[in-house]
Amino acid sequence: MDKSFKKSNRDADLALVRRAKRGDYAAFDLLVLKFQSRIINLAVKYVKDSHLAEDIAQESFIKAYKSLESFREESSFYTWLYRITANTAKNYLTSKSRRKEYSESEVLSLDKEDSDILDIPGGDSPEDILAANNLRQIIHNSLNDLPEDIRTTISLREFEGLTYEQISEVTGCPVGTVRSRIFRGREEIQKKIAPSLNHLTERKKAKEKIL
Amino acid sequence: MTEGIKERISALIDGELSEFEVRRVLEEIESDPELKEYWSKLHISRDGMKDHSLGFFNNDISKRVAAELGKAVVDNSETKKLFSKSNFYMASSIIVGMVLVATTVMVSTSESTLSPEEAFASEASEKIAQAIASPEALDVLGRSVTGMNATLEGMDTDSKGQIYANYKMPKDGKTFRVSLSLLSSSVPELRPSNSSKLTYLKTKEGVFLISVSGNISSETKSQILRNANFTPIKLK
Repeated sequence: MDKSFKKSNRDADLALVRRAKRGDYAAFDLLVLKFQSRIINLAVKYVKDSHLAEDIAQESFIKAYKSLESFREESSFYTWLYRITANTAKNYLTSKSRRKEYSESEVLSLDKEDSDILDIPGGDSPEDILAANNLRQIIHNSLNDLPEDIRTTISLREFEGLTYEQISEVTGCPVGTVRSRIFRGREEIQKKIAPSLNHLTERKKAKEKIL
Repeated sequence: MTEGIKERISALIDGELSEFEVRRVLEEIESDPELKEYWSKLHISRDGMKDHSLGFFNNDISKRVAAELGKAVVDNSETKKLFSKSNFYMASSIIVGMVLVATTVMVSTSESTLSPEEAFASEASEKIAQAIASPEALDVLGRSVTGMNATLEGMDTDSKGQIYANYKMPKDGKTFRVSLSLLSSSVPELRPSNSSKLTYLKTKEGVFLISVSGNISSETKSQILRNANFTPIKLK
């Protein structure tokens, strides 16, 4: 790779955000589906309870939707959503006068938009954490098993944040080929993780029935 | 769930679809729960790949959020909701209908003195309507502005069965038009403006002419045609 590219500053979610701003709820729904896991994970760090975290996340998405007009696209949509969630969680703790789960300094550290801090394995039981870690391992193994050209293309997109056009320049492939390789790579990974996902989904349903 | 729509969903994740394509994909996802599930699953694998949390990947609050907001939308902006539920296929149907109406009117009012263009339109009206309504044809328009961050200002058709989409570049306010029309052996001579670039596309639906015009650079016009995987031919 003789060229160096900066990570794209373009927010991949912007098209959906703009559609949502115009009242297209289907677009916002996709954003909820995309970010809900990370937002619940963030909320649980404040409230230490997965059910309560879901409520905080729900409220955060509702606030975000209602104030979409105020999103000026100066940051990524996720950054903006993150702030809303953090504020919602802190307001909840303050208004309910609940015992704080974190010291003040710990809460401040949670304000940092640092994915290494935020995106640690979550879940409401050690079993869930183990299942999540196993799933992650399968995903990484699937990625490593991909043919080199596909693995390189998908890595440039996912880890380097390059656009299709930039990947096209780096690899010397047409944009259409880049798009196709990324899709095929994702498809392969989907096939590999499908059994685990299905198993975990069934397990969750069974658990909910018992509760 | 076809490979085509799944590939477009994959590109949507990366923000690599034109506004035109985004609209289409959203319509399809909205009407097929399997596609929505596919979107979610792709994000699970992406989160896992990037070492984001997977602890709550099974917790779906989207229906709860929608239920709360659905009520709010109905209460607060019924009119807005009516307009926001724009349906791409409905728009396409209207355009196809306009093609048919326009050509039918031409046939009934001036059958005895048809110009070559009018004769072409009347003969090909049904074929044009079918071909232009095809997902393949509409894909061509959408694909052509991939990655350009162009805003779709509107779509329309003319009496010759040409469908066109008007775009604006938010960055500099420049506007351009991508046109698509079906050609046949009886096509009259078409004379797009000198500032246009055009190319042809042969598909199972017939041969299409694609042209790009507007106050954008020649390079951008070529790029638009390249996006659709065609070789541009500059008009003289």
